[in-house]
Amino acid sequence: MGTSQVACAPERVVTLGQGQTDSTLALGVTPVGVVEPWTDDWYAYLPDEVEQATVVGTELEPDLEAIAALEPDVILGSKLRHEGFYEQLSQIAPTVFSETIGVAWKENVSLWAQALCREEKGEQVVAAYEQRAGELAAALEDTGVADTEVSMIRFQPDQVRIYLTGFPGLVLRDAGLQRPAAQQVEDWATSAMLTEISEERIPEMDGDVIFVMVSSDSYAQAEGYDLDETMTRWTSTELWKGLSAVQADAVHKVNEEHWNLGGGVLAANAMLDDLEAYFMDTATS
Amino acid sequence: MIRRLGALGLAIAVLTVVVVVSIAVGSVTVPFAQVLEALGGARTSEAHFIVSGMRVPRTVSGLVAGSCLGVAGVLLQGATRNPIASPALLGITAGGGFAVVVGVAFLGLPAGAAVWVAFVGGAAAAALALGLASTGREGLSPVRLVLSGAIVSSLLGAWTAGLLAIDQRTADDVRHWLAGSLAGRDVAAVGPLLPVVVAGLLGAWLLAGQLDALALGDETAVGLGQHPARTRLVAAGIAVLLSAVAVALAGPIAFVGLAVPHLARALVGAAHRPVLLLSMLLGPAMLLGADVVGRVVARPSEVQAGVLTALLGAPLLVRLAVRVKSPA
Repeated sequence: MGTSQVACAPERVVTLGQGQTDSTLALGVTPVGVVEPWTDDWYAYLPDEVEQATVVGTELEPDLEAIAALEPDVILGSKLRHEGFYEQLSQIAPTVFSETIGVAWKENVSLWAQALCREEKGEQVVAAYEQRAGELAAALEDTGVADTEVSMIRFQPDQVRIYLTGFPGLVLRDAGLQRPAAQQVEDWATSAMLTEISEERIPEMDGDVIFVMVSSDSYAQAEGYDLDETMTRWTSTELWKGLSAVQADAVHKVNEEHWNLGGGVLAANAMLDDLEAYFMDTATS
Repeated sequence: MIRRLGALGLAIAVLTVVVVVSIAVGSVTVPFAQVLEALGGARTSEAHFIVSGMRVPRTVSGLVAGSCLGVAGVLLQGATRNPIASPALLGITAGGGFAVVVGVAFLGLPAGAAVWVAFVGGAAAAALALGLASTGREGLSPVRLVLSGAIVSSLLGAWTAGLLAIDQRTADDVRHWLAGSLAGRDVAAVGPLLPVVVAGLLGAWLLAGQLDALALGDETAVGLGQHPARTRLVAAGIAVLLSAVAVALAGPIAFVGLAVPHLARALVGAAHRPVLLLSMLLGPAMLLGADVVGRVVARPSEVQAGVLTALLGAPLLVRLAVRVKSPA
């Protein structure tokens, strides 16, 4: 959305979403304005430069006055989140929106690269990611773990989710990993990215490996889930204890910051790091 | 008498059906034969974990919480002689919820203390709402009661939201108290509350005669040798205690305490004993019924029972508010 004219090469960039912030940094530009992260502190995987940026509201409610005060050259957002702000934003500066976020992150990197007049850099970072993912897939194939069925879940206070596609689903697929039958979708393009389940459906979480996306505080904790009430409750049920991944001790906490919240090329690379560390260590040990 | 027995039989039948459905139906389909098997023995099957580990506990919680709400509604409506009085509308549930957030989450009281914390919070909220409604010349009219209850409820709701906004971690810990849901209930939490529930129900039963007298008007009640003020206080106290149990078990559930007494009166008339007995059966039938519907309408996820009771109960409140004339 938006065919705004952008001054090449824009120096003052405002990003309205987590993925835009991530990928803009990956393109070598430090935004002057960013929206708050979903957590209290900045994601650990992001470069420190992000802290130099002024915070201009939240991804759902960007602060238009604060954005205007920064006198940006270009504003990056998404139609999904910011359609209603487009008119006002484009009066402040040329505004470029991606259609959506998450699963479309690779195309979006190209879009941001174009908006920032850094097309070459954009192609470079995506190609570097693709190459890494391909190498990891080949290595997993070689060590015989490429047929591992990976489940991705997340416990939240008011809902529990199984991730099907979306950003993390795409990275898993790029790494050549498989998904359990209950988490496979017919049509990748139109499927819901996740499904919310009730306790009785815990068996659908099963896989050869279960990656549980947790907060960075919970991730920093070596053992157990006691920082999260929902997780404590669900993981104490007999259904959970009966999962084959639980019995095989193949439940692995991962940091939601780069598995779920970030949604840019830096997050995707950080996810590959985790997958490599987990599967290659498991394979060699 | 026959009408009362008929209504009682009907209520027992309805509750039995609801309990069976609550154990047999969930967001996962378990064939009925397997449900029976799971209840009987077979300690290792998935069906056993679902039925005995999840559906039975939430059914037990629903039975207890629903009875408490139904009886609390009868007591409050009798004590205030106001057809619109109920635990949720008087701010008792909101007060209980707020107190649990403060006590358990911020002051670190043990989860087992939740019912007492909810009792204190609920009593304070009810006192505030009744006090607010009694000011002015018209006295305790239904509409004033609804208004002041709404004020107290939204004030406490706002405070609760404010507290939760301050501390995300705490917010996560207590959110299930505030959900109004029977999902994931620990059946062990019911045991220690049973003496409280039994005492409350017995107390309600013993008060029934005095509430009948109260219904004739304060002067007549005094003439019959009653103490209206004392009866009101005791009835309200028991109602708050029973509501607190319900909050501790299921979080804030709206409209069960309002709707069930009306349904009971429609079936057996105004005398308090049969109304109490019937409400004790219809309360859990409504709550569990809502819970079962919530389990199947949004598969593979669930809708909280509290959302559905509100959906069912709101039209009733509108009807009552339209029908009941203010005494002014």
